[in-house]
Amino acid sequence: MKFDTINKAKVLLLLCLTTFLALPLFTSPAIAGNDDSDLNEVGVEWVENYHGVYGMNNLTWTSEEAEGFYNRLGEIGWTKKFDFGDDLAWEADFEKPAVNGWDYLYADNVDFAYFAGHGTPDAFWFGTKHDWDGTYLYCVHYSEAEWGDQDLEWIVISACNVLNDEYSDVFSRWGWPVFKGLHAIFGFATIRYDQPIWILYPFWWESPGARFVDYMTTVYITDPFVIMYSIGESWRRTTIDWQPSDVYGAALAVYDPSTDYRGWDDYLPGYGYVGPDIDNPTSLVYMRWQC
Amino acid sequence: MKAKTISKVVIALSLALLLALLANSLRPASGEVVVIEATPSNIPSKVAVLEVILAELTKEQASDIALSIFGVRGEAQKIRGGWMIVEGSKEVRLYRTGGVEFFDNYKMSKGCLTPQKLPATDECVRIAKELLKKLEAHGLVPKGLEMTFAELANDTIVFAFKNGTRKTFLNNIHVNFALSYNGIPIWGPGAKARVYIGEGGEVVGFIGRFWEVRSAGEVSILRPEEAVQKLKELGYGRSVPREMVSKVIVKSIELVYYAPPPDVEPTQLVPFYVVKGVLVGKDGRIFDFAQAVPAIRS
Repeated sequence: MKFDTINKAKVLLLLCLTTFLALPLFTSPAIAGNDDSDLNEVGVEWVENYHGVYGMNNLTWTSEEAEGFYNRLGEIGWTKKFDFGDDLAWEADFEKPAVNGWDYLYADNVDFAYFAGHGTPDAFWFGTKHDWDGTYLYCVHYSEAEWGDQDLEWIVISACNVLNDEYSDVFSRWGWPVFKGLHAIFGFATIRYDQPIWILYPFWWESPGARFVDYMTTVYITDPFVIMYSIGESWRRTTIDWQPSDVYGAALAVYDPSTDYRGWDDYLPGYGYVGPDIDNPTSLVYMRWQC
Repeated sequence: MKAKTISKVVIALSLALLLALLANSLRPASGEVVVIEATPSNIPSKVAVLEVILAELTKEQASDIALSIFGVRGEAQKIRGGWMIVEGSKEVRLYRTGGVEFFDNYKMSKGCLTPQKLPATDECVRIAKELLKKLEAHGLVPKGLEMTFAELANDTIVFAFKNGTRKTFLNNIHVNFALSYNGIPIWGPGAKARVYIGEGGEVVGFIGRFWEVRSAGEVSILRPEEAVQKLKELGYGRSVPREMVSKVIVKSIELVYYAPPPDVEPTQLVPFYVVKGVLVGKDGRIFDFAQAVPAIRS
């Protein structure tokens, strides 16, 4: 189910009112700390209509991708917190309070977030402008993101090149500044094609987002062996099943050398081990693979 | 006389307007110049749509193949579109569409913090071809498709530490083979024939999307230039400011068959164009683009 414009306007109105009544509190936003009491909350945003902003072309399949992910998690009992598309997808929803963003209401208020749209190595892009400090308009620049300080564990940024490491700088972009309790970011190191998984063009297709959930939740038991897929392995398999070989998938995660724990080795809650939040990681790990 | 002059002016203006509108309709909306550097010359006006032939394996056959080719011992169990056999962290999948997959999940995804002893490239190709021979001996390599060596690639893992240290390792080397039908490449997620080679030359993964197909009749397809025109409408798939694009250079237009992953059991594989090139910005920056455009004429 989608929030409509009225819902978003209500939130805005409520925030304005709260700001007026409690201005001193808002000058230094109080972060609730790691909220892992409920590990099963999901939120997605996607953009297909870019209104020609900066000349970005429209996309066709991001809604099916993100909502497939959202609905499939909902089917297995996850709490569906928000599904904002096109003009309702706002950059502020992913931005930290220090740049006047309100990720603590949206992206950092769920455990698993998913964005599908345009991307560049520095940012992922929106079709409308909702940036409350007036810098880096229409996008979430990496310097505006700090995730996991409240709730977020995993995020997919399904967009071209966001996790590109051509200049060996992925850690200084989406790594050190961004990981504040976050376990992993999943995305692409190169371009990706805007397409679903075609079964019979143009009538029958499958959502790659739904397939991602299917991988994470499938348990194969062949006595005495059990095969289940971690979130990272599920994303890798999904990208291989979805994109052609000239595309490279990628993931960036926290790494604990003492235990060899990598954030992408987490399983979906209820399906296996979930590592601890590391608020200020001293080591990170990045992987890229051919789709 | 005066009325005649006015009507002539009106007609001339109307013609000019009409010509301007016509010229505008032939130009991309954003005004960028589109240069097609490479137009394939041998594109037919019609190509076959490929019917996918499903092959049924018995449970016993599936278990035998897993053991004899990949050394994975276990009882086959039904999965979407085929069979799966599991032993430890290893799994083999055999699909009705002809797909074969093998993964040692631990070795494929874990990577390590020490350099792996990976074989030289020639040796990787030899190991891969040997595996394909084994598959062929079991009748698992498709008869309707051509398969040729394409390239070597790798998966990479990078560790970074706050003190500035950065360590990069190859997770595996993989040998890719290209699939085609009557010279037209199979493309997409279901176009993979790939052998993953790990420590000491061990095969740690294999993807063989081995479609058994036959022609289901011919369809009319777009000419390559029409595909480029369609691409202009769809956009170039890059978030480069369109008003900043001064030139689009189409480097390649390739007619392909789109193939999905094998478990979804498509009834047909249909033609697409894959258009690749660069966008040249007004500031001189150059961006690659690649887009798939449906080729069947509607």
